[in-house]
Amino acid sequence: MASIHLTHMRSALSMAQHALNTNETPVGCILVHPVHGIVSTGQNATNETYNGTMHAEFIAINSLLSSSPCTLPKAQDGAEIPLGTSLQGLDLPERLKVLKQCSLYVTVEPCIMCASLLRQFGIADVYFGAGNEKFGGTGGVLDIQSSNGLFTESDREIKRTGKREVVGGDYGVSGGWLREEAILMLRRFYVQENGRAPEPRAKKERVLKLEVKPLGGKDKMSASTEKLVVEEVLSERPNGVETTIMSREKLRAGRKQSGGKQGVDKGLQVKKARQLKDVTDSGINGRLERQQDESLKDVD
Amino acid sequence: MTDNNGNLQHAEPYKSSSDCAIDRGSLAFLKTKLETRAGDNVMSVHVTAVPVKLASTAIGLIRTILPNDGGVDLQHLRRFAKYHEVNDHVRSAYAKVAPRNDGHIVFVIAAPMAITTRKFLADSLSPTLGSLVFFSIDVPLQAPTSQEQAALWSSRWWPTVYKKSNPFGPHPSIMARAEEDIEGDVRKWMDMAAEVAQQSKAAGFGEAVGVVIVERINGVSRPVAVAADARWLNWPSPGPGNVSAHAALRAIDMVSQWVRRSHEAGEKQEITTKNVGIFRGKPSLPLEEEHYRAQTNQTGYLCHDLEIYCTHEPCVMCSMAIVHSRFGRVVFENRMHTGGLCADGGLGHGLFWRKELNWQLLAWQWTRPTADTGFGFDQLRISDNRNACDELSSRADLNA
Ligand SMILES: [Zn+2]
Ligand SMILES: [Zn+2]
Repeated sequence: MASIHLTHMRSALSMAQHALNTNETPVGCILVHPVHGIVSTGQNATNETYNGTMHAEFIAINSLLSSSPCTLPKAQDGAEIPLGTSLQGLDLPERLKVLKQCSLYVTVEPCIMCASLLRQFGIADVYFGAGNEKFGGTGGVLDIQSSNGLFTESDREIKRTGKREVVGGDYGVSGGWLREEAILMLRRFYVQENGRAPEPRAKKERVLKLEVKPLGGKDKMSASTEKLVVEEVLSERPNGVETTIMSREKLRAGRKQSGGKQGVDKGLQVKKARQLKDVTDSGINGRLERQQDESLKDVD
Repeated sequence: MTDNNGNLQHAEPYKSSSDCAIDRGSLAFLKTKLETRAGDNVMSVHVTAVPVKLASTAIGLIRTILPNDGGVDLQHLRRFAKYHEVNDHVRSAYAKVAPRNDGHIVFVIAAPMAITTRKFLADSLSPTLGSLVFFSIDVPLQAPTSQEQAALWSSRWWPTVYKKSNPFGPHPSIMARAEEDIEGDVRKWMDMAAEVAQQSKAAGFGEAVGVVIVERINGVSRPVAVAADARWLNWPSPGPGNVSAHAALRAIDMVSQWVRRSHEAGEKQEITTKNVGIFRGKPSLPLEEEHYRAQTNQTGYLCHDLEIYCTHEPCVMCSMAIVHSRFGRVVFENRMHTGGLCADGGLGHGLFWRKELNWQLLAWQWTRPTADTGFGFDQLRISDNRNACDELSSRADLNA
C-alpha cells in the first residue's frame, strides 16, 4: 500500500522538477482517482502569471475541471507520469464528482489557501511530502482539513473537547511522503535562484546542502531543518517572486517615472523612514523591518 | 492563573477616533490572534539568588550556556531584581528554598522553564557562583502595552518594563496613520463594492459579494480592480459553485494581469484575458470593465501594499490569498461564519496578523452609517443591498 503512495509522490516530484526547470518554486502535484488513475497534474505558476495565488493545487484542479488535456512536463525533464484514463466526454458536473473522489499528492503541504480550496471543492485525501510550518493549512499552522480548522489544537487556548464529528468537506491528510526529496528540490531552487538574481545578495552564501535531518520524535512533520528550508525558500518567495528584488524594481520604476518631478522620492523616503521607525518601535516584525531597511538603502 | 483575562484589560485594540463621523461610517480594527489568546499570557521561569557582587558574572555565564535565552523573548522583564523590588509571592517562593536570608542577594531570572532544567542550571552555574538555590515563578509572557499594565504586572508577577510597543499586533501609531489615510474615502470604495455585488447578483453571475482593490500613492487613491463573486458563471448548481470565482480571487487575478503586462511590456506577450477552466479573471460586469486597467506603465509586485475593500469577510481561502498577495490593508463590512480574517468569534483564525505567517496586514471591519437607512435613491440602493448582504451573512455555510 505504501509503495503506491511513493509511486504517486514520485510523479508529483517530477512536476516539481518541471517547475524548477522553468524557474518556478518547485512544488508539484497530481490528482489520482481510484478508477481513472492520474487525472491531472499541477505545478506552481506564480512567476509566470505574476499571481501569488497560482499554486500547483489550483492548476491541477483547473486542469481536471477544464476539458483541455492536462499539461505534462516535456520529455527532457525525465518525467514519466503514467496518465490514467481520459476524462474526455465528461461534462463539468461529472468532473466535479470525479474531483471529490480524488486523492491529491503534493510535494509540499498545501498552504492555508489551498487547503481551503480543496475543502470547498471537495477532495478525498491529501498526501504531502514536506511540512510547511510557515503557512501550511493541513497541520503546519492550521488543520483546515478538519472542521475548517476550528479544532486546530495549537491554535486554541482551551482544547475543545467532546465528540468531533466529521463535517462535510473534511478530508484525510498524511504527510512525510518523500519528504527529503521535496526539501532538496526547494534547496536546489534556493541555490539556483541566487544565480538569477539581478543583484546577488551578500547576506549569506547559498550552498546546496544534501543531507536532510530525519524528523524528530514528537516534532510532527516540522523538524528544525524543515522549518529552515521553508524559511529559506517559501517565506522569502512564497509566491515565487523575490520580495526584495521586486520591491527594488518598484522603487526604481517609481523613480524613473517621477523623472523631472521633484520631491516624490523624498516623500517616499520620509514615509519609509517613518514606517521603519514604527516597525522598529513595535519590535514585532523583524522581517518587515529588514525588508524596509533594504528598500531604504535602495532609495539612498 | 484565574485572573489572566484581567491582566489583558489594557491590551484593547486601537479604537477609532472617527466614530463620530457619521456619514463615513466607522472603522474598527480587528483584534489579532494574539490579542484573543488571553490564556497563554504567563510563562514559568527559573529564578536564582546570587550575591550582589556576582550579578554580572551570573548573567555573563547564563548568556554563554543559554545564548539568546533559547529563543524566548525576555526583553520586557527586568533580569535582576533586589529583594525589596519583588512582591511577596516571589519572596515566599525564595523563602521556601533559601537556608537564610542575608539581604545581600539579588534575584536573577536564569531561564524560562520551557528551555532547560534546574539541574542543568545548577551544574553549569555552581562551579563559578558557588552553591545556588533555585525556585520557579510565573512571569508575563509578552511585553505590556502600557505603563499602567507594566506597573500592574510588576506588582503581580515580576518587575516588568514598558517599551511603547504593542506585542499583540501592529503599533498603535501605524494603525492611527493608516486609518487617517483611508477614512476619507472608505465609504466610496465600500459603496462601489456593494454596487458590483449587486450587479453580479442581478446578472445571475454569482452571490452578492464584491470587492474593490485600491492603490494609494502619495495620498491619492484610485481603484485598480473591481470584481464581484462569479461562482455561478458557466457553472452548475447546486453546490458551492466555482470556488475560484470568489470576488477576491477574481480581483487579484485582474491585478496580476496588469502587473504581468507591465513587466512584459515590449515583449511580444499578448495576454489573453479569457475565462478559461476555473479561472474568472476576465472583467464581465459593467463596473468591472469600467475599472479594469488593461493598459498600465506601473510595475508592481503582486498586490504589494494595495488596499482591498470587501462587502463580506473573505473566506479562509480568500483571506490567505490576500496574505499571499501582500496586500497592505483590508476592510470588510459583513462578518462571515466562514471568514478567515477575524480572530475573535467564528473560526478564529485571524489570518491578517499572525506571527507564523510571512506577511501581516492591517484589517478593519467597517460599519455603514445609520443615516444610510434614510431616503434618497442612493441610500435606497444601498439599503436594498444591505438586505441582500444580511441574507447572505445568515447562510452559515457560504464562503465569501
Ligand atoms: Zn497553496
Ligand atoms: Zn472566498
